[in-house]
Amino acid sequence: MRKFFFLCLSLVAVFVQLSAQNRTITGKITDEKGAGIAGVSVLVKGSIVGVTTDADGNYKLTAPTTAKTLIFSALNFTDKEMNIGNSANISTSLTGKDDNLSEVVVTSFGIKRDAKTLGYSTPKISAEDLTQVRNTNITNAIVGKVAGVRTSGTGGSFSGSAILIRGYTSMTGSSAPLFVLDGVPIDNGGGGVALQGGVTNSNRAVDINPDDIEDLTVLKGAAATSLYGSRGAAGVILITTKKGKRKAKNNVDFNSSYAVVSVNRLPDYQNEYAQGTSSSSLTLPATSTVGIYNFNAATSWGPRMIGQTVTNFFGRPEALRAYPNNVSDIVQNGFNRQNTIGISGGTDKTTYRVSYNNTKETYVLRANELNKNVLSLNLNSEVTDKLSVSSYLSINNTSSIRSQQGNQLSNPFFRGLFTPRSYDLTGSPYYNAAGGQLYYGGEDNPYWSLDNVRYNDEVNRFIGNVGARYKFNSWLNADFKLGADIQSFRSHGFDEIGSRGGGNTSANGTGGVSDVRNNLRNINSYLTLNAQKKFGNFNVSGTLGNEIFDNFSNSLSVRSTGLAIRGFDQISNATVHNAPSVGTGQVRTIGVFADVVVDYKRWLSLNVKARNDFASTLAPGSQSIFYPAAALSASMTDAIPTLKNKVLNSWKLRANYGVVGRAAPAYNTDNYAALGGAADGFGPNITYPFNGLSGYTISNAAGNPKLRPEFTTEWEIGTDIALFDNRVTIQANYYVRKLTDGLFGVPVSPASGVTSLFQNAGEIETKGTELTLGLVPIKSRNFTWSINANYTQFRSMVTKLAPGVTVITLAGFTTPNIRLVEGEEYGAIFGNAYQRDAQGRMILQTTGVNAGLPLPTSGVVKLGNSNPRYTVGITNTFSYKMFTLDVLFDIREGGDLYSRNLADLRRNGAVIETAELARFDKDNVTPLRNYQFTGVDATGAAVNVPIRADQYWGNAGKYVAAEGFMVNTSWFRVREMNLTMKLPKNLIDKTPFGNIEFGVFGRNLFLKARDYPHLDPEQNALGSSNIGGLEFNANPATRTLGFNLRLTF
Amino acid sequence: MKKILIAISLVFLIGLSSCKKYLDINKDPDRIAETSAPIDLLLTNVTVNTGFHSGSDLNRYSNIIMQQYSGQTTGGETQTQQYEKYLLQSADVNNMWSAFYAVMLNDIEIIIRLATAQNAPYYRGVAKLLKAYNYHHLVDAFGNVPFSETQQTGSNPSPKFDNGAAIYTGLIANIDEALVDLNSVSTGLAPGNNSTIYSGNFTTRRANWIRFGNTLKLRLLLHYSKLNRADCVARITALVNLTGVTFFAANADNFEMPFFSVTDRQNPIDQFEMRRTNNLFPNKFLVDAMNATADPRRPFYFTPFPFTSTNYVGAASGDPQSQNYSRFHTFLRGNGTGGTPTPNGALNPLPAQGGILYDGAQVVRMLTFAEYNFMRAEAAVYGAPGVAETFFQAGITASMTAAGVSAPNIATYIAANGTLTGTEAQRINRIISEKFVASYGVMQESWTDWRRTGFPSIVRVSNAVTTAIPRSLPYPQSEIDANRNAPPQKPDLLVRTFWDTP
Repeated sequence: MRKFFFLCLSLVAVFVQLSAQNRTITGKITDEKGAGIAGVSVLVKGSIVGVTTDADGNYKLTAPTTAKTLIFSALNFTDKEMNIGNSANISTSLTGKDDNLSEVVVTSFGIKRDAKTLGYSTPKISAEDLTQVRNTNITNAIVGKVAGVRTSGTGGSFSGSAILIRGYTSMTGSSAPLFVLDGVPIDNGGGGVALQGGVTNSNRAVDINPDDIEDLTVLKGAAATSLYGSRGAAGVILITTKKGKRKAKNNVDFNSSYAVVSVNRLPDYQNEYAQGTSSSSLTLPATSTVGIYNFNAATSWGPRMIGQTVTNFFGRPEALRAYPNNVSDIVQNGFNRQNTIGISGGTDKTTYRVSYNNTKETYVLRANELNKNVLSLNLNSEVTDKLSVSSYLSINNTSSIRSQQGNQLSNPFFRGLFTPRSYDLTGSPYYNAAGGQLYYGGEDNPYWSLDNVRYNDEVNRFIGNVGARYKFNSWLNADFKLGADIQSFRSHGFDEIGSRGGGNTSANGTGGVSDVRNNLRNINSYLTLNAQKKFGNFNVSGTLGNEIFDNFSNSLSVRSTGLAIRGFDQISNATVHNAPSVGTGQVRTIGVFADVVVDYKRWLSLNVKARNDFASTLAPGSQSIFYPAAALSASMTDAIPTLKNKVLNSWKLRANYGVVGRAAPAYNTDNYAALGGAADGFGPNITYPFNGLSGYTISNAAGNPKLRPEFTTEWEIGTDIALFDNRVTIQANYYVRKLTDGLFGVPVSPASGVTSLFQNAGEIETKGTELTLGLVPIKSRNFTWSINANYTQFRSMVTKLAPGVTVITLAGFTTPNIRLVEGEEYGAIFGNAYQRDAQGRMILQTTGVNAGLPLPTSGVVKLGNSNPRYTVGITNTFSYKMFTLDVLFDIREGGDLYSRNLADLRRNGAVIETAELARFDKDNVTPLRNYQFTGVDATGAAVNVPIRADQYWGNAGKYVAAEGFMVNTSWFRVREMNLTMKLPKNLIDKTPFGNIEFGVFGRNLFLKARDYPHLDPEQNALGSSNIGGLEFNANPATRTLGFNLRLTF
Repeated sequence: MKKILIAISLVFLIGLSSCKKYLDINKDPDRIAETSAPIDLLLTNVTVNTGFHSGSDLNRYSNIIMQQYSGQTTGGETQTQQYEKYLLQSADVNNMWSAFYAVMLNDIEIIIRLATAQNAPYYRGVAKLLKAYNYHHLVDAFGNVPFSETQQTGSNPSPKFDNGAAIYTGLIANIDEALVDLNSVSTGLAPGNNSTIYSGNFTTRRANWIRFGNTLKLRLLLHYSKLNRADCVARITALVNLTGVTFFAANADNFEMPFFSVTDRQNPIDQFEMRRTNNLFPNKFLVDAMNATADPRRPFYFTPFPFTSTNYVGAASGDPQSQNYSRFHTFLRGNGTGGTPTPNGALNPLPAQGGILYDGAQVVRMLTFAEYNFMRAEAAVYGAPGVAETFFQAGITASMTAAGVSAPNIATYIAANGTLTGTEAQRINRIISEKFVASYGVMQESWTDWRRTGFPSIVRVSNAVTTAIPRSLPYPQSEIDANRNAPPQKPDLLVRTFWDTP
């Protein structure tokens, strides 16, 4: 890597030597009104020699004598080329890019469209905005940048963000968008979070090198995505890769960053009371003493620590004291480093770009590491005047090691987060002589678990495509592309003998090994015929196309237990082998589509589209899915030029309507029998072979040959307005989107013999508003301040479930869980609440040991909803001379979360608020009753029973109902911040570099969560499934601070 | 150039012409068609599940309610502690309901259908007995449940709920039909080693199934004792007087399912101990009752506490966090070795933490010879044939023998506790209390006995969330949500099953 870098340096040095024959050209570049334009790039055509103009628009360029042409380019202005001839002074004016020269956007299948005539918005994120803060996973880079897109971090190490565009589009499946790279869909699976065992995975977008991305376009509505067929129903993320430039010499761009990853927030602990027993839910005789030191207790309800001597878990005398850092010592600083080198260039016919990225990232817990290598190549060539070919190839290797997550005993933070305050976790031994663990609790010791419950995985991935474009004549061309995404995934989990959690294999203490192999092969191809012709005032363009895709995956997993040799991490070391499980999925679709645009005088444009899919997952005879779309746009300032004035620069109106049809997932048309087994929800299970026998059972999920496609129908209106010299731009959209005939496994009475029946049954309706506001409050010679703000609001209501079905539980536990309920917002959180009377007053117990404490409802009720009311992203950009400062504020209003961590921290007496009021009298024995719930008895009379801290916070107190730990996740955070220093040209003129940039960046630098103490509310136990609302023993969220160096030469 | 285009077009034309075949791939290669499921493998899975679930959720719920087991913890409040204070919620029974209906009863129905089609009456007989066994547990636990419209898959996703009494009538008819099938002469397919209950050659195992059928029928008939004593006695009398009828005659006849000393093949009660550390302990009520009679089964039922002593200490609902109790022992968990206590004498359930290493190769007992004797003893007290005390002592002997108690110790115990005297209620109390101890680890029957007879006289736990001891389980939330013919949820857990008249 380093050698290569120096090789490039010396090559450039040689090049500079050879070009030593120079001359000087000066000039001034002005706008149409004669004012100088700062920052215009002046480049000798066909070289990398160039400067930028100063604040007054003047430049001075040392150009080789061989230079013939200069290219002037600047943001918001049209490029201009000038012949040098013999002139020593070349001054010119540039024409502002008015809306007549609007940008070209690639919509679908490489179809290029004039953005101005589009009937829907296509927000685009540039490479710079994506990579400034050096996210290692591009899904994290989308956060807060686009209106209509909601992202939520999944927590844990190296995981990505779940992306939700314009609400939920599937009843029980994923509403994640389709990722398309250079016109070819790629897989973004994975990202699952361990709820009950195992580790969190990365979503597969992590394999992409962010530095390979030129830009990223988000297609949101049905009208925009309909050509992508069924997979585009949830929106499309179009990624365009960086390509070489024509007639450019070998350009090298080098990007190196290093960042420190630290824990964002750790709880504020109390350090006053020792490990000891809670009595709150227990029948204690009145004489019983609370606050007795108990080395078996997971709670910190023990006596006040005053140095008294106790016998500890190890049987040794110990003077009681607090270990304030016993939890924070578990975590450490991690880091991530990314290096990318890209070399690009081209002749007049062929361009290329080769890049290599190496990334290494660690987490704040040891035994977590991700390594990534990406090698990619872009080649494009005009073979003849008519034929051009393109190819893209990327080879990715991503490997990781990870620690356990979720609601399970091997997760180091399962109970580690509330380690008793007097337990010297850092200093205590945790290995016994045999290598097993020494720990007071029933779970795995956090350190022992990090050492001995291990997991690693590796993905080798190939993403590639080849394309050919043939121009028949000036108005007709054909475009063909064939792409592949091929992945091989393997994972290996190891539970050492004596692991109490057995996070990988549920080995029951006997130790175990689990191996998974997963192969994925997605092949896609499309062929389009594109025509464009002018008929008088009408400009007509049309596309006729065909798409075929074949997605295949196969996984094999084996889990073996009963290890013979401690520490030997191989499946051959196991003595009990379970029947391997095999899973196959194959889906094929053939689609044909047409797209016609007619625009009149470039102000009125009508776009009509239609697609027909034939899907393998529906029964023969009903495989055809047809769906249309139409979009209309009118540029009012072009239609009525008098509207245009000093204030109003442009105004456009848009309206569209679209439908996207989607077929069922694979294998839901038939009924099957499969290998059986027995299990309850607590871990005990029977696995075949059982005493040499196999057993089969009829699958509980019944198929249905009568499945029809489900449809997402959407209409949208929007407008684009530019004001005050484009210093104010507004884009607003309102849409209504409806899922009808939603396909899912409808739960039926198990007494029918099955537990679910796949059906077309549900409906979801989403209404949403999105706003994008661009502002340039200050624009002066040296200083510019610009603001880009976006506002996302949508609400997805479940308007229909299957007949007779009122509730579908999506995920969770007995209480709490996440549900679909007819008439409720998607993803309501249900759980037991506190019993209340008709007036809403809490009903308190009046007798017994639990007098004064609340009661839970026996059933579950709606407790909240995980969806925020709205989210806002605001990017402030300040440029002063060579400095640019970007600050992204991420604001989320509303959205509930059941926080198990918070519940655990409090009910175990570990956090500061549980020690706010003294727990014991001065004798350190008599418990004080400083707390009280406000409530009434069954007759409505007020109950005034003072209670102890451990009763108030404990299992029979606040914890008794899930309602007690529903927390509003509203936040304000500085999501991203980066300060970039771009060395001015005159400083680097004499160096071989075209550009030198230093940056300091940070992520999650500041968090204010109004109602959410101790931890980061951005946690989701349900991973990238788009469903939120539950947090179960999540590992801590992180903050990143680093620096970056970017060189081009 | 044109050649390339023609070539591409040709490829597409060829592709499209076989479009139909290209899309015909929607059959899961990793499963077999429902209609191809073989009868012998279906039966294996049914017997495995029957054994497993008899040691799972309902075993825990019923035996916690009956104060055989106690919930405990050293960390946060466990679910077992919630069950123990009768906080049994509608979603807690979702899983067991699905396992009974969608796994066991559904596959049993398919076996009955296949057996009829393949002329295999022995399979049909066995399946019908398993159906009666599993179904009566649903009635006893929930009351009215779906019966007449079940297992119709998509054609009836919301089967109606039938009256428990009608279901019992249907189940007894099922047993009678099964006995006809099992007594018939057939050369058709028969269960063999593939049945994990009464595994082995059917020519010898047939007798076991027949004895089980009659003993199960006896259990069902006895459940009517409170509802209609006279009818109950008359029907039991008719059954035991039937020519050629055979009941359990030895512990070897026990309806039980063996498990193995292999991870994920162990007894589910043992697995729960391993996977849910410190969630269950022997209950103070049971342990104290056995302490009072110096019961010689204690060394097999429980570990001593302190471990080096010969004392046995049970936990009670609401006890403070502690591990200082006896634990489940070999009778429930299989042979055990090792075990080093902490300084205060407690054992951990996990071998790695100094607990005893159990092999888990213990049977789950579902209907025992001991229970048969206690049933006959109780029936005899009511007036059915037989001498109550003889059966009573035979029940104790069967239970103690199964536990591993030596003959002299049995004799000593019977000498002290084996006589039946006093009022009917006193005699019934003795019988049911001994049956209660003998039924340690048996699913639900003790709860049923208590609901029928009021014995043993357990009292509501001090931290109860209900006003009395539960008399049935709530309907599963999943059933209420998905079955439009489901009745409204019960107002509380005090709703009674049909045979549990107030």
